[in-house]
Amino acid sequence: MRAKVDRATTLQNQFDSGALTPLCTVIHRIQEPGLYQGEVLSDSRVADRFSVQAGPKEAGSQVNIDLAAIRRMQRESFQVQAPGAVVFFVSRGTEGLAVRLRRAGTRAEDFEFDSRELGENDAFTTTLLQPGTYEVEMQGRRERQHVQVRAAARGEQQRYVPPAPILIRQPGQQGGSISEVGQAQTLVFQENTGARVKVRLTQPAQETQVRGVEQRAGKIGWRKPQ
Amino acid sequence: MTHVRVAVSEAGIQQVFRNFVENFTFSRSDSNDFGRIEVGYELALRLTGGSIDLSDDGTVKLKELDILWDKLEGSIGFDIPAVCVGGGCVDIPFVGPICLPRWCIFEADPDIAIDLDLAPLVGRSEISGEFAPEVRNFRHPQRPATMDYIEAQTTKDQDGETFADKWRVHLDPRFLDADPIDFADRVADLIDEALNAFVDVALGGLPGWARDLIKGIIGNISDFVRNALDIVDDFDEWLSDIFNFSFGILDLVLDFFASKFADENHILQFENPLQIMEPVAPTAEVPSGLIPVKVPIKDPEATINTNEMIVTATVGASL
Repeated sequence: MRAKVDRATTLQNQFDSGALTPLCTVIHRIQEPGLYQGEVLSDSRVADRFSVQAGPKEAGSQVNIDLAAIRRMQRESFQVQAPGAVVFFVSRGTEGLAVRLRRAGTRAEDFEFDSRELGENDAFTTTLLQPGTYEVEMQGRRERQHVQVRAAARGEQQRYVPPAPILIRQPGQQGGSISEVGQAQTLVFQENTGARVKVRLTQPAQETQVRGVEQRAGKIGWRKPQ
Repeated sequence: MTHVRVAVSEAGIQQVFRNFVENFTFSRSDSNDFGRIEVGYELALRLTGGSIDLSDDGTVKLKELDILWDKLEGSIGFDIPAVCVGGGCVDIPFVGPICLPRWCIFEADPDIAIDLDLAPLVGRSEISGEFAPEVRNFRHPQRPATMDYIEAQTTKDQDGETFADKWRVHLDPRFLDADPIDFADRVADLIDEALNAFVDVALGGLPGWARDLIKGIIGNISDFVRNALDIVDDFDEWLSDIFNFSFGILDLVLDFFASKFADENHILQFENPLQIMEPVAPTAEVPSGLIPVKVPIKDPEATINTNEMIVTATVGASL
């Protein structure tokens, strides 16, 4: 019998479009066909490079690029239709990675996409596992938003299926309000022009089994709250 | 015209059968890979009870012969399905429809091996069948080709059996039936318990909310595993099918029983040629003595009636 839970992924409670880890993605829509050069950044330094060929008819309308796989030098060239979507994610690990993309032939600093400054054709998604209140920060803006993740009600025999991904509008439209979402539901942040999105747990929900008094074996007992 | 007639009573045949049953053992082990499941077994069984009845339709009926499972151990290795979060598709303004990647909780495809003592959990299985008498010519496999029949009748192997040719009467199985292996519901409970213990161990050390979430996504672990592995029935029925059809354990048992009973057991035998007068040692009256008188036995036939088995034969003209 062997099974090892990926604790780092499971217990994550901070997410950053500019430092991607498991459970979050940044999505960029490529409009024009052509060759795109990509860079994976670790601590603001270029750690790896890759390319995306946009336009081939045989390519899909979406390509998922695992930055952790690029770090392991497993793959460095990708294809997608144009227009088409590139979904950047990190399958494993705790190293926060940023990613940026520019058309081949443009100036070295002329990036049309940078996960640290999302544009109008971009989105950031994150899947929040731990129940509690999260603060959503659009870096470079004043507005803060809060998202409350409610714990899934669980019966012994009833299977929990996380709700479908939900689109979270920018704070200008829901500024300061608390959006309540389901546990393990994926949140999609969009219309974040010029922002780096950070999501972090600020108030964990209390464990449901933490009760001061409980009845057990016909006696009244007490458990120290955890 | 019949020259020789020999009869064996029903009691005599029953005694042969009882001796066979008392000494019958069967053991086997095997394993097989069924995709994401590996099942193995190790078994040893005996037989007990059973009755033999001679029938006037010329057959011998076998009834209520019970299989006694001395050992029936099973091992099941499951490739537990991945437990993942994320995924799903969403239509994002200015970006378009996107299907998101998933992250799986376990670092590698976990597997679990469950060992089960199935012997106490298998239902009663009976064998029944029908035999017909069959006379076979037997030539000793160790008899040298140059050995003549006179020498063969006086030379014995290490078991005391002569090398003489013999007619042997066997009971040849016409058919054998066995009740299929039927495991109790408790088998499914045991597998459930093992799967739940596996999940508890795997999730040990995680905070309560994480354990609850993962257990919630898994739901009923038994259903989760069965759905993922396309096991339509409950575990007890599924396992019964594996043992009955995939491994065909009772087919193996019946085949072994049939060949052993038919080939290694005979109800009676007589040498051919058959000695009808003993040799006489030299005496004063007959100084050269007398050689034994032997007659060839031809066309033996065995028939059954409700009381006995009768073997008839003719005496041939020459050896």
